[in-house]
Amino acid sequence: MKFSGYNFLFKDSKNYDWIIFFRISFGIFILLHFISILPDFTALFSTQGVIPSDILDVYVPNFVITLPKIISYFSDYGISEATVLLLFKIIYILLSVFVIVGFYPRTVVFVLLFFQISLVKGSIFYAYGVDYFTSMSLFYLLLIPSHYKLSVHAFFNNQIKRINITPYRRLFQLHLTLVYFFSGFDKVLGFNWRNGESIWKAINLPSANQDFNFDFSFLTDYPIILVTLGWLTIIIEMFYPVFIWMSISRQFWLFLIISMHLGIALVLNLYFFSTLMIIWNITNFYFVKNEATH
Amino acid sequence: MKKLIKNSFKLKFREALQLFVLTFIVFTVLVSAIGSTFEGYYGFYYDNIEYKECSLSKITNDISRTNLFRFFSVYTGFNSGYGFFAPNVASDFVFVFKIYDHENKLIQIQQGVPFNSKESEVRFGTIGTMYLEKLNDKEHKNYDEKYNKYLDITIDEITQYVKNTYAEKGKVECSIFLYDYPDIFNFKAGDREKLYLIKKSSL
Repeated sequence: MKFSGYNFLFKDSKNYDWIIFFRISFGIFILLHFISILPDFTALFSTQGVIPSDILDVYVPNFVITLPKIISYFSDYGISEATVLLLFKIIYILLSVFVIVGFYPRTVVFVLLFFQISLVKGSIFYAYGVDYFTSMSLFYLLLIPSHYKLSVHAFFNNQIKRINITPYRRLFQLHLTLVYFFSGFDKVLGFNWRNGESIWKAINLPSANQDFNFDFSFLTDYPIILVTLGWLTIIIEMFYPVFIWMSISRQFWLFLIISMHLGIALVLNLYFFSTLMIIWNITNFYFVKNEATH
Repeated sequence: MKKLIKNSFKLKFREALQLFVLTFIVFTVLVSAIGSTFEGYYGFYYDNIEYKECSLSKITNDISRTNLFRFFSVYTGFNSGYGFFAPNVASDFVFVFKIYDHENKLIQIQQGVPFNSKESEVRFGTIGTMYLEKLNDKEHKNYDEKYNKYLDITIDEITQYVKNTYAEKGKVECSIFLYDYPDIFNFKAGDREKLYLIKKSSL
């Protein structure tokens, strides 16, 4: 007789929808995210950039192979920076398309992870949360087979050998619950989150609220709204690991957390970060059926 | 029977391997998250104050400095902390450029570096963290002359880049301001955002 923890970790639910959704939606995400910086690629990542890439690269540990190092390596063979950057962009876009269509996804993702790391670590001062979550997403696609359905691989192979991916699903889910727990816990440690001041500060950052220009001045008459929003954020995040695992509250908590990310997108204008977090949430807790999750 | 034992062993081996991967990654996530929580907490409440680091913080720091951990976490993104905007929303910075002509006459004031996409602006906005560390070190306890010179070079490079975007090759002055927004009660009393100059570069 096996204990329920075993079923939780290893019972094969034969549920592959979540990882197929993740591969396709994340593939579209990484492609669009890369395209969004293409008009400024030279300004951000070249030696002629706002801060030249070889200067950005100075404090990066030697074991990290970065784009500036790649440029420097090829220049020794007479290949110009412009050529390297052009090839880098073409390959990055091609690999992203291959992820979407499921063309040897794990091999492709391995190379894409290397490219993505070389890009963001080589310009670490331009990196923010979305880049870390992009790297982690690529790692999960490297770890978990995602070619069983809706892929070029599946189209040409009728009999694909399938493995039990439930342990990796649990890992991904546990990771996401830890992300929110620590995000909520770190907030509750700060008195500014408990008195609503952090919400006020965040919505009034110079980089925030640029696209829709919401007028938040009315909040000065109702500071209780800020206190409530601060505590609501803490509660939604800190109790995510509890309520997302319970089938009775899962859909409601998913709705709350996705609403929170939509709010972040609209007010803080962090569209890509919010989109990626929504993808992570849907992947992990929307496609739950016949699973030993509670 | 032999086949059954062989299959059973294979299954157990795969499960053990999966369990090892799962444990290792959850451990990595925990080390990064706990380390980042302590860093944020001490940075917020013990800024420029002597404090005794707790043993859990020391352990997570020691682990995160090991080569294996660094290599794995850097190449997978697992070196991320998760305290988004916590425990406190970090201060933001504003770049203001004054562009002069050959006769040293001010011809334009420009805020920020011109980019073509919103995402590029978001990325450039994150470079303030470079200067935040320096700004927080009020008593110069972690003063690193080389790194300070490095920061000065980066500001000069930004100024030079903006200068290059103008046909008129006069002087360009770059000022980096710390953006301070009043709290809700001071805002109600009539206070508005203030900019504190922290660095200037002129080329």
